[in-house]
Amino acid sequence: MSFIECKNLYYQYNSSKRNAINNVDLNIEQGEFIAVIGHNGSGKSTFAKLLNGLLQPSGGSVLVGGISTADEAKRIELLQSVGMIFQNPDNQIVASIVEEDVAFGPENLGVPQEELRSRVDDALKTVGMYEQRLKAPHNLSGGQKQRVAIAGIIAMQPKCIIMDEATAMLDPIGRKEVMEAVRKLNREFGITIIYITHFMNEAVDADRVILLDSGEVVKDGTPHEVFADYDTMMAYGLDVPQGYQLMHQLGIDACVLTEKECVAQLENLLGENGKTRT
Amino acid sequence: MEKLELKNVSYVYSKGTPFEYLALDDINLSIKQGETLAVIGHTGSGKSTMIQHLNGLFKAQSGCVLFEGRDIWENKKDIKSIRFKIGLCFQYPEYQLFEETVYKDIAFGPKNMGLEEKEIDRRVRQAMQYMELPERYITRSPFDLSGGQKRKVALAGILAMEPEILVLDEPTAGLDPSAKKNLFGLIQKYKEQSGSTVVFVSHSMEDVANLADRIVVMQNSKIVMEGTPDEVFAHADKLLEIGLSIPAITSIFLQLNQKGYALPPVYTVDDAAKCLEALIGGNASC
Repeated sequence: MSFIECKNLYYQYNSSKRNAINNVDLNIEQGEFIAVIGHNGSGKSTFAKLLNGLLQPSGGSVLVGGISTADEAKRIELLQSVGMIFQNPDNQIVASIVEEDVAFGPENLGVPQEELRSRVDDALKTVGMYEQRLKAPHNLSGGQKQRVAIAGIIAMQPKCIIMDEATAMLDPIGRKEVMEAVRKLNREFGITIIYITHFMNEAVDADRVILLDSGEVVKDGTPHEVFADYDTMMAYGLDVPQGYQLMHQLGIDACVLTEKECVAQLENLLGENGKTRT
Repeated sequence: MEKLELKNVSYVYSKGTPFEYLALDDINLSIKQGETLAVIGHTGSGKSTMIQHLNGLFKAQSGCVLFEGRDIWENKKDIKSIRFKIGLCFQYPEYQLFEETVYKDIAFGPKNMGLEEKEIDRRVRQAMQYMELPERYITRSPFDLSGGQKRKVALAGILAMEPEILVLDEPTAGLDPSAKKNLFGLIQKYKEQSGSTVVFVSHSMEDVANLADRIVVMQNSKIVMEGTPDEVFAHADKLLEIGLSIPAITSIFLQLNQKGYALPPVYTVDDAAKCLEALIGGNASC
């Protein structure tokens, strides 16, 4: 049994005639780091909300740890095990002090006082925000606020965290901070990460990439498998890293996703051409 | 004469309280007619505070802002007309849509300028054309449109005031790659057709390299660098040191040079491709 199993999953909004999610069948294993990409309106956020039961399937099913998201009696358990971080850092802070904000989730789960203290402290340390625990959230930067939001989720000891364009409103430093915090959760604690993003250079860092279009999974594989065909990526309204774009312009069929790969490829290509004469 | 100038502009938030914070520290900046100027710097560097001085949303506590050589605060009553001449578009402008139809929303600005009905109509339609919004949207509610379309409506509302300078705070934040490309294309086309001046804030060095004629770099409430993309990106070390980045393509060429190549600095993929084609074609340099 996989950690998350989507079977013939459909979802249709009341106001719409077409399916926002259209016959999605896929499994997610515990501990995977998955990037979900696709243009605006491709169904990414709807998909995310179906995974933790914020939305109920119009057809098919989602099982998380063997429990259906439609099972009312297990709803709290589900929300605790699959946490979600949204785009706007200002919309997900509920308290006026950082540590109280982090305590909000576990407190509502009925975690006893002594344990609550240690969970909050550990969560804040994990995302590197322990020093700021007594600060007011509105005095933090966007990246710091998102890390506080992540700490609030970690304190509930989830198995999976869904990031719904959680870095879209951050500057490059904030983005890096959040990405590093999430990577650490994945590597050190085995938390499954589902990372929805428009930044292709973030997506190429994932273990697995899922490309959605019109509510359907059109590609699912390693970054190299998904990005392999340049024209397909363009056709789905996406982008590729600059090094890959360069290869394409040079007419070379090489799916280079990182700067390192690109440099290696160019070294091969140039050989001694363009080297400093000695 | 410069189009817009900031002279020794300083601004302190919560002055006289324990929370006092110097957000702008003696800023000097000239903006030339018809140029595209990019402002970069990390969060808290003073970018937003600075651009809100450009059209008098903030009044400089010391120093002055000159529009075509005249202090914008010379006559307090004129400040409203300055705000029509310098159109400021905030981050996520679609959150500020409020009217019941797209037409009314775009017409709001020109209406406030006291223009005649016919002129308003011309401007609304022209602004929609600039943003490539189909005419049938006129009667639609802006709230029924997609995120990317909403943003175009919000921008059209500013273009309809026919500003001489368009100031954009992260115009493509949150858009997907193709919507982003599309919007930058439209802004570029608008600029060419209307001859107006564009100032934009961005976190994407790739976009800055592709679009800007000139770049201003802010750090700790000051302007620390200013110049053409060539001049600014030549200081890769300095940019990285202050928490900014350089375009990926620039970084790739720098890494090749560390491996013994003698490649020129590049900032766009097009330039990089041209250079490499020349080398592969047998040229000794490019």
